[in-house]
Amino acid sequence: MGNYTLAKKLLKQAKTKSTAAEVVCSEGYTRGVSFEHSKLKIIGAKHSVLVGLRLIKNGRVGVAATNDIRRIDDLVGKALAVSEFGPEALFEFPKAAEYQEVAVFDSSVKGISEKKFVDLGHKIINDIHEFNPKILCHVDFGWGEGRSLLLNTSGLEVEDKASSLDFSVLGDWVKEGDMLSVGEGKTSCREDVDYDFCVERVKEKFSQAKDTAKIKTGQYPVIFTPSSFGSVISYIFTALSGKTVVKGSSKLRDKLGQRVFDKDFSVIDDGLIDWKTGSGKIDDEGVSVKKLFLIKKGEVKNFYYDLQSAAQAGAKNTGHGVRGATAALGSPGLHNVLVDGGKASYKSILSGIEEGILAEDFLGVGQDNPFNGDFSMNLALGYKIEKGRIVGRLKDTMIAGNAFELLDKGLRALSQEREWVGGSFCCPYVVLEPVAVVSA
Amino acid sequence: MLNQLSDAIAKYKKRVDYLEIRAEESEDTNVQFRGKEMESVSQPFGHGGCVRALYKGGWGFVSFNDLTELSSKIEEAVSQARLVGCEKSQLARVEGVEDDVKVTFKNDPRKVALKDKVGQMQDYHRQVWEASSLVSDVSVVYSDGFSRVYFVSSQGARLVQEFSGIMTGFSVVAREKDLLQRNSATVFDQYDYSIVETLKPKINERVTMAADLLKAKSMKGGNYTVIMDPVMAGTFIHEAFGHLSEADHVYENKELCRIMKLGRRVGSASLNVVDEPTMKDGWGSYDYDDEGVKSTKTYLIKNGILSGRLHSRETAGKMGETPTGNARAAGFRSRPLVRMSNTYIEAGKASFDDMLKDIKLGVYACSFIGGYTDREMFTFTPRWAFMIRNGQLAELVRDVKLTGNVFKTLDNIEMIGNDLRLKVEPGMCGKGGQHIMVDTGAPHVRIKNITIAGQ
Repeated sequence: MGNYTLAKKLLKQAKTKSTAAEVVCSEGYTRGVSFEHSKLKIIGAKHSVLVGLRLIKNGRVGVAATNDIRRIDDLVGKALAVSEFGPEALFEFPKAAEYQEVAVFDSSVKGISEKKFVDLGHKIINDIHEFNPKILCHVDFGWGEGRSLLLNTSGLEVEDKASSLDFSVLGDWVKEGDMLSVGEGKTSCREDVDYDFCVERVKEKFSQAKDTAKIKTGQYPVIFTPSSFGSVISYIFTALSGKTVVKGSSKLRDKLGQRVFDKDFSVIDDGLIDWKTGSGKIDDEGVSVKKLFLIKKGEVKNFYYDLQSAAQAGAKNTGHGVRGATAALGSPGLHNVLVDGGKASYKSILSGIEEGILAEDFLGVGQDNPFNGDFSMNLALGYKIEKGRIVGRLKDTMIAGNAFELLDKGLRALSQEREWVGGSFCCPYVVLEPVAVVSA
Repeated sequence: MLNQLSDAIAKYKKRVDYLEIRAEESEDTNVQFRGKEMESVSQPFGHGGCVRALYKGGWGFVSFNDLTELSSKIEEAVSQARLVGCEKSQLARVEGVEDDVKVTFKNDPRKVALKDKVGQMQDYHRQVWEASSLVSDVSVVYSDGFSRVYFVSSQGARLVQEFSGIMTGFSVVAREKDLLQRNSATVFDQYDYSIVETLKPKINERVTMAADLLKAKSMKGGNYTVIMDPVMAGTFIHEAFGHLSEADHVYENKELCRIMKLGRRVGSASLNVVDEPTMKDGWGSYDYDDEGVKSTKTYLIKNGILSGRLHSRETAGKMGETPTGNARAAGFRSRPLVRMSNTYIEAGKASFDDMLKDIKLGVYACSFIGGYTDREMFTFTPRWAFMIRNGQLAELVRDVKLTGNVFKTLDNIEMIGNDLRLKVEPGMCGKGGQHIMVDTGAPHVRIKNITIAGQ
């Protein structure tokens, strides 16, 4: 579409009518193969373009965006119109800088044939059916690439591109009075996804859930898997967001430099790891990406900011600007988050639990008060642990606690093994205690 | 536009069993205040389309922004479908309708100056901050949207439908030391901008509630008799039961077909549950679904008996049932899935006092923040709740979350109120990554033995 010419022209138009401006053009092409109820159901493709304009006029920000290339000339007018009411611009658009390159683009991904995933999907379903023919399988593959171009009146001109591959497999087993869905998935910027690992995990979860177990209402230690721990740590991410901090809703807003978590709890954001989906040399506002300690040995080290929130806080921008689908004003978002592992093996952690729960997956995540850290979640999939062994699936069971308190005084163990969940979160198994458990 | 789409289809329809094109033009206005400041104002506009092809039971689906390359996109969808198809295409037969559905605004938001919309939100933003000294974060949002959707199929459908929606709402976080509580309210209408003015009285009410919740205690976890208010009960029926009646979960799952067999008793004889996209002015209302099927009212539960389910043309065709017009897509990027519209419990006979009087220890759960379901299990969160002690409403409690098993819970419905409320919340229901407009409704409902998580 001649991205570059188009973006240049738009920036030039905007520049004559505003103090400063920025143009972002992105386009993507992704394909997908989906199996539903163990049958190949649909192959799809998505072609997308988006042009966004952000400008500063009379000290205020105006934004406009469209996916209609024919009407690009309308963008300047729209952005100027809304700038009259827009938020005060506290920032300047970033200048060009040194960027650290990171591998996120593999040109071969786009070319993978549908046929390959059709065959692979059939193979995976056969594999699961050999294990248990009654499981209905849903398998999804999505792959493609996106390119974006960012120009601003501070002289920045930077192009970025990334490829992506998503894979997920979900097994579904329905009996009267007992329905169980078990899923596993991986995301990467290239085809290094371990399909077999995911399939084996699904089988393992079904095996562990074969028998049902009971637990009495009370307080127990709970092992969170790397995936389910994401639901707990999300409260910490919200509190560390520069935006939550400047808006006054963060529990950590006045805790910078203080130890508020267990000394074994360390969390890093690193957007410079090859092939991870949160990686990139720049953020969505053109700021260079760097590694950032969020929590080090229990101490709050840094909040993460985009241009506007950093300016509001009077803090240094950390390069965490993320833009939504409308290319509007950014908000802070994380790249790849890594939680430090501990010393014990997962096996030894499990075998040390006399009575407790292994929590794989929750229902009801995100319904809780996002600021307090109080969570209560239904165990979509979780098992009872007795004398260091998994004895069966727990149903109709809820767990509750406070993320901040538990990660301060209730962090019992972190496993030495870590796993990547999705393509951008790396985490060990985490034991928290005491967690309130309510059983129906 | 319709002719352009029809012509494009004509060239390819012989190569597949079924072919459709949807195209969409849209314009929106969004205003948001967050914290102390204006957060954003935007007026995105766009267009795009999608092609869906069916060949021997296999689907191809391509979405795009640029309609000038329509032929190549159809070609792509056709070859995808041909790669997938290996059985028989079974779409329930429907008439190929021709229609032009226009939006008739009572007060057209497009004729209201942006300045006035922003000004109104600015007033609300100030009012929320002024409502209590405990307010620590505020979000005020306004949005309106207008879209025109064109639909043409190889089986003769030629449709143009306009859609619109206007909503405004706020949420507040009240804070005392390290304790934070939130509350919110939203108002909406499809055709009338003046709805925006009705948010005003809710501001003081909900900010006060958030402040009161700061003083409330958490409740003790356990099993309780619960009275749900109409908003909560509507959410309950949508989440806990409605999703199970979407036929795309059921049609290729033999065991679930058996469990969801029509004619099965699922609740007491006074329980009636309806999905009604034809409701006038409902947030989830529409004339035709995204397969061009005329919408209809469907009884999901009648007199306690499972009596119907929601269908796309494919699920109806494969199950040998009548299509209901419930295949809906969240815009041109998405293929239609079986979805609810306005789903509600019909009124019963009990008064609120009847429900309350013999409860020794129970919970009155009001309004809702969110809900999830994993088919048989559900969990949801009221915005606030009161204890019921000895037949009387007692103290406010915070951070209450309800959970249970769908079938047991339906069977545990003890009383259905005579005070049905519709058009309660502008819901956005998520499924398969697609969020669409839905509404729920219900009278007060009393249910025994619901599990509540607590500290």
